[in-house]
Amino acid sequence: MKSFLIALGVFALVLVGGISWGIGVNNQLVGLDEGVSQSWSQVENVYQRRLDLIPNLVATVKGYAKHEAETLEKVVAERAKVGRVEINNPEALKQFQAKQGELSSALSRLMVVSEQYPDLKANQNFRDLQAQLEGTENRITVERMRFTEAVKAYNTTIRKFPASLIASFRNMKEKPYFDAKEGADVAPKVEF
Amino acid sequence: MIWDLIHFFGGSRRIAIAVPAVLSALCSLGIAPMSGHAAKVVPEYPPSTLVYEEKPTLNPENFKRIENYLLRHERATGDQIVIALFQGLEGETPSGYANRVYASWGLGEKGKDNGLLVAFFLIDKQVAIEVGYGLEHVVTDAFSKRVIDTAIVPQMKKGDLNAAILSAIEMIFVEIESPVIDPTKSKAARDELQQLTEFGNKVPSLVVLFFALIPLLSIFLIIYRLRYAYELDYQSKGWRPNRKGRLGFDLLDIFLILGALSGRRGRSHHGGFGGGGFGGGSGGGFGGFGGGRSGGGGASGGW
Repeated sequence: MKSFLIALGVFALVLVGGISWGIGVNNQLVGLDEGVSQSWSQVENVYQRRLDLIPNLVATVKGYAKHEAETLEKVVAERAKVGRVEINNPEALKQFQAKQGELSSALSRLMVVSEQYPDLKANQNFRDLQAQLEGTENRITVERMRFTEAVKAYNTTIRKFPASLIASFRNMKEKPYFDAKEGADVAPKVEF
Repeated sequence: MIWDLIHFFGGSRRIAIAVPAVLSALCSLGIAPMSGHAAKVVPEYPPSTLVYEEKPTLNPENFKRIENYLLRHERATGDQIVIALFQGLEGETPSGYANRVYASWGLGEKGKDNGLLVAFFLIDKQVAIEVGYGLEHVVTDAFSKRVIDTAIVPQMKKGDLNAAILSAIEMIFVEIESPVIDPTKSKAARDELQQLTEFGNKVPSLVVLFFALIPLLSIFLIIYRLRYAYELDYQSKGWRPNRKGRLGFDLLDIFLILGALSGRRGRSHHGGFGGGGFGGGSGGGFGGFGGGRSGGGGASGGW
């Protein structure tokens, strides 16, 4: 009888220990998940910031290079229809990245073309906008880097054993990264 | 380059995760480069000054003058503005490297993120301004570019580094508009104030003792009163307790009890030292970075 009670006690201890470990891991994963969401919203913020600069840019450029301004406007109109991106969905992330990439291309084309309009280049407003675009591209790079780090932390923790048990129990899946093949995503180089 | 390796291994996601992870781990040991090309090492920061020189460039009096301007601003507003003079870029972009340096040094107070880094790259003739989150709304990207174009580049073209730094700092200060030296703004100043008031705490210990005595006295009084709660009344049969009498304590006693229970002992006492005595810049130097963050704002340019 006594040995049975002892065995029961040990079993209960192990069970309690296991449960509290499980809770700990779960909370850690939740924390990492939140970290990913947070850094993603920062990424969206800076992309939105870039989008917000465009109307001003279009207005400034229109006075000098009407055709280019209108082209940019058309590109933006299509790309701006980016809804909320569900970051657990790799397809959605790819689409988001593609759209932003097209916008980047349009912007860099505009910058290249503007080289041919010395009046436009001399316009202080345009120069300010160029600085702001450059700054925003920097910010995009930084926030994407932080997002990638957050996703990496989350993914490696989920995949490691024994945390992977809790993760699959809670149905937590790996999150997608940004595609590194970034041909279209080059920041518009602004050089005088 | 890394991604070519990954595709060589068949594009497996395991590798896609493992390779950057391993490289980052090695990077933190300073062994492997982060990207395809060589990375410039971010130096450990000497915490006692707001001017960093990879190689001694400025002459001592210029160095001191710049440092004093930056220190004074830091004490007034808490903004940690740093001038860093690097030599070569070693293949990095100015804003990329400046961002890494900023992140590593942690300029600005944590939470407030009021830091700003002006990084010169003397061999490559580039300069980058990196602005913390907290100062971004004041020192905008466009303004940073203007500082570079109007204050830094013309002077650097003339070869006058000192003038470039001074005019850049002035332009930035004017934009931030630091008026009065407010001792509570800067962390170093607040620490000093804290130390002074702690000293002030030790002096009025008499007052504290007095406050401690009141509860003790009250307790004694209560005990004394309770002992004589039952008034002895001379009756024909001798002294006997007067039950119909007083309760044993009255209003005065209640106040004393309340005084004992209110825990006035716990209140800290600010001495009469206030903020005087450290308005001058001589009291202590720079206290260290607060661990603020930057989002990549700012601008860069070259001469």
